[in-house]
This record gives sequence, structure tokens and C-alpha cells, in this order.
Amino acid sequence: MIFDALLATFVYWLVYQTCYLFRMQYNVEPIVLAPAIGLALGDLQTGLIVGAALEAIFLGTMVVGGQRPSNPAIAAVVCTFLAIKTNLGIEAAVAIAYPVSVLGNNMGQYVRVFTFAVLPWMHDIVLKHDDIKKYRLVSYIFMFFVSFSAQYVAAFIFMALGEAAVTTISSNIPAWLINGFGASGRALAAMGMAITLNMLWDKEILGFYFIGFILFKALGLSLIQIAVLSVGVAMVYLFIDIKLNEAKKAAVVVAAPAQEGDDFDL
Amino acid sequence: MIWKKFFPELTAEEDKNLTKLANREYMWSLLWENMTGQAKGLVFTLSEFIEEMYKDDPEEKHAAYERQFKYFNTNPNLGGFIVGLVYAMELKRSKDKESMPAELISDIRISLCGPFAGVGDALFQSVLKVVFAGLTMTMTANGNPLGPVLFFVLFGLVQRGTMDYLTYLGYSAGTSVIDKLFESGIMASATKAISVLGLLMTGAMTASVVGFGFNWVIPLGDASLNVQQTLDSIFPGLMALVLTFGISYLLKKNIKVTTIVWSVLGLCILMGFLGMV
Repeated sequence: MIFDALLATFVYWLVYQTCYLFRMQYNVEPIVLAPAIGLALGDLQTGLIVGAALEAIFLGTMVVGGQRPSNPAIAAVVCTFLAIKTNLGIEAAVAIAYPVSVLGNNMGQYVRVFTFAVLPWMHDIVLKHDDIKKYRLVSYIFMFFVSFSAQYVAAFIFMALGEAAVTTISSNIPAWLINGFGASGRALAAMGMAITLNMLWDKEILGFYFIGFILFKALGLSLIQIAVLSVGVAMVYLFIDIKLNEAKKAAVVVAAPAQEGDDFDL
Repeated sequence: MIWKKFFPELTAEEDKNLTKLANREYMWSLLWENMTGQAKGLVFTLSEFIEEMYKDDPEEKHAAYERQFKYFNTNPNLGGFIVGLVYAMELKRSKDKESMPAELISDIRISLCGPFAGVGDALFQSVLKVVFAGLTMTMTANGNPLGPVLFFVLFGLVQRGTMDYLTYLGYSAGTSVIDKLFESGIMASATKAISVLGLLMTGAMTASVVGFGFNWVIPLGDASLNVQQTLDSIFPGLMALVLTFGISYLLKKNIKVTTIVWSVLGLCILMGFLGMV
């Protein structure tokens, strides 16, 4: 059991780091991870079925501005492992995916906040000591062993303790704590949006933010439809703005010679 | 490499450098942290080139690093354009300081990364991912191993291809078009139009990912007040807007992200304890 958990954690690490290294970071999805874990543990079929089921559940999950509400990857790894290595069954394994994803995500995100809070010295390596080789070395160490280490540790603990532990933890945590955690997951997604919003902050066009909000919430359009609509609106805006600027320039050109004319009129 | 076909004006050396630059773009999310976003990763991407172009001018090199360590956060795929552009501008500055003011590089960097984040995050995670997952999900559910393989290869190639192509495009824009754009005044309009697009998408994304539901009924004598129903009857999704603008306001007041994260978490657990959520 411990050896299998280690193996699954290693595959998780390998797939995750490979996707990032080859610049395919959005490939870290249940549909990829679950079959990979299944293959490593010798039951590809279960991996495929769990992967497809979890992909459907987590399809709407997005990482926005580096923040995310839940972690589908850790759920995919743990649930596939439990479906294959315990007598939990595929359906029950899929059912505990959501608590695992939120619990694992919270552990991962907060440890990540800590790791990087202690790292202002990475700037000093370059700015004070002018040692770019050391900077790159530290980057590599972070990339492979630190950045997402919390989620690997969390996954390993979940798997090593087994389904019983996950169920025990879930049923022994008081309901109010689970409710609180659940509420914080979606509330903290506001952080990513706020960071993006502050970068775009411009009073003249801030109204478009509310229009986008209403289009999704009240009119129920999908993000794809809103994207097409937005491109149209942005293009109209672009051409109107260019025309306005041209008109402004023309006005300046017309006004300027009149004043110069006065000087010459001696 | 293959992208040179689309940009015949590039020399073999430029082509080689751009491929190398694009291949170094993987570190952004891995060195992400709250204070400067992906800036550390961006420095990693550019470091080799900055060392090379400013090797005779340590002061300028230092200034370039300082510039690139400032806040940067965007969608990694569309961000390829910004990197190509910034690289071209730094290259120009290293050759002739007068032709490229340092402020221009910083301005371009910060003003493009927001709109690109809004558009790119939505495009890749909720449009393209859904398309490719939809294509391969049935196959996977039926136990066909081709499903995940197709998803990985197709979606992966689109991600990489976008990044590579946009890096070339950004460089090409940086070397030829950007002066003209600035002179003609179209650049300001273009940045603003992209911001319009970014704001629309950010608004829609807020509605889709941020949420806060009260599970709180206040007894009032015989009747009772369901808080969530009341809020919904005023304006659906009101709490998502309140949260986003509240955090936006706190960030503007220079309150640390870490502090806000812990406070929100603590508040949510407290509300859970009081039976409000």
C-alpha cells in the first residue's frame, strides 16, 4: 500500500512537471492524470473511467490569476488510487472527489503562500550579487521540489491513509468547518479576479466589467458566446476610438495655423 | 524553426534566439507568488538574453533586471506576445538608449498583461479545454486509451503553438510595427480596446467562478428571513461583486495578499461556526 502510494505520487509529480516543462500546463487535468495513475498501478480501464467522470465534474474549474477554487488534479490521483487499490468501488471513489479536491487545494495554496513569503532574497541574488547562474539554479530547485510540493505530500497522505481515513476525516470534521472551508474556496476565487481587475482598472471603460457579469449571470450566456460578443464590441470600440483620435488631431491642425497666421500678419 | 515561415524577414540568428526564448517560457507559473505574480519566471525567461545584450553595461543590466522584477501576471499562452515584444524592446534599448525609453518597456509590460490575462484565461480554460475534453471524453469513458492521448497531444500542441507563434509575432511587432503604432496613436486605442475585451471577460469570469451562498435563516417571530433569497431578489450574484470589489479595494490600499487570504478564510470558518453559510 505504501509502495503503491509512493509510486502514484511519483507519477503525479512526473506528469505535472512534464506538462509544465513542455509548456502544456492546462493539460494537467483528470482526463490525463487518472489514466496515467491507472497505467502505473496496472489498471488502465479504471483510470480511464474515473478520468472521464472527474473531467466532467471539474470541467468548469479555472485557475484565475494564480488562484483556484479547487484542485481537480489531486482528486484525480487520489480517487483513481482508491478505486483501484481499495474495495471502495469506482462510484464511491468519484463521490469523494470534491472534498478531496477542496481539502488538497487548501493545503497546497496556503503552503505555497508561505514558501514564497520567505523568498524576497531571490531578487537579491540578481540585483545585489549579480549571480544569474545561482538564480537559475534556485529556480530549478523550486520548479522540481518546492513549488507544488504541498499537493504531492497531501496526495501521498490521502493515499497512504486510505479510503477509511478520508472517510473518517470527512465524517469527523464538524459540519461547520466543512461549510466554512467550502464557502472560502469560492470566495477566494475573488482574489484572482480582483488582481486582474486592478490591472485593468480604468474608470472610462469599467462599465464593461458589469456588462460581462450580467451577460453570464442574468442572461445565462456561456463564456464562449460572451467571448465572441466581446471581440465584436472591442473591435467596434477600437475603430470608434481611432476615428475620435483622428478627429481630435484634425481639430488641432485646423486650430494651430490660425494662431500662427496672426504672428505672420505684420 | 517552423514559425519562420510566417515571418520571412527574420534572420537565422533571430529565429534561433526566438525559439530559445519561447522554450524558456515554462517557469512563470512555477515561480508564481503573490507579491509580483509571474515576474520571477519572466526574469528566468529573459535572463540569458539580458546578460548577453547588456554585457558591457552593468548599470543598464541592473536597471533591466529591476524593471523585469516588477509585478507581472498574465495568461502564459497569450503572454508569449508580451515576452517577444519586451525582448525586442530591450534589444533595441541595449543598442541605442535614446531610441527606447525605459518607461515605455515597463508601460507595455504592465498594460498588456491584464487584458491578456482576462482574455487568455477564459479562452484556454473555458473555451478550448471544454472543446478538446468534449471531443475525447466519450472515448475515454468507453475505456479507449486513445481519448486521453488525443486530449494531451491536441490541446498540448494548441497551447505550445499559441505561445511560440505569439512570441515570434510579439518580436516582429516590437522590431517593425511598434514605432509606427505609437506615432500614429493607434497603440493607445488598441490597448484600450483589448482592455474592453479583458473587462468583459473578467466580468463574465467573476460571475462564473466567484460565489458566496448564505445558508442563513433569521427567525422573525412567526415569519423568517432567508438571507440568500433576499439577496438574490435584489441582484443575483451580489456577493460575488461585493467580494471582488472589496478585495480590489484592499489591494489598492497595499494590504498584503496573504493577509487578505487568511482573513477571508478565518471569516468564512467563523461564519460556518455561527451557522451562517
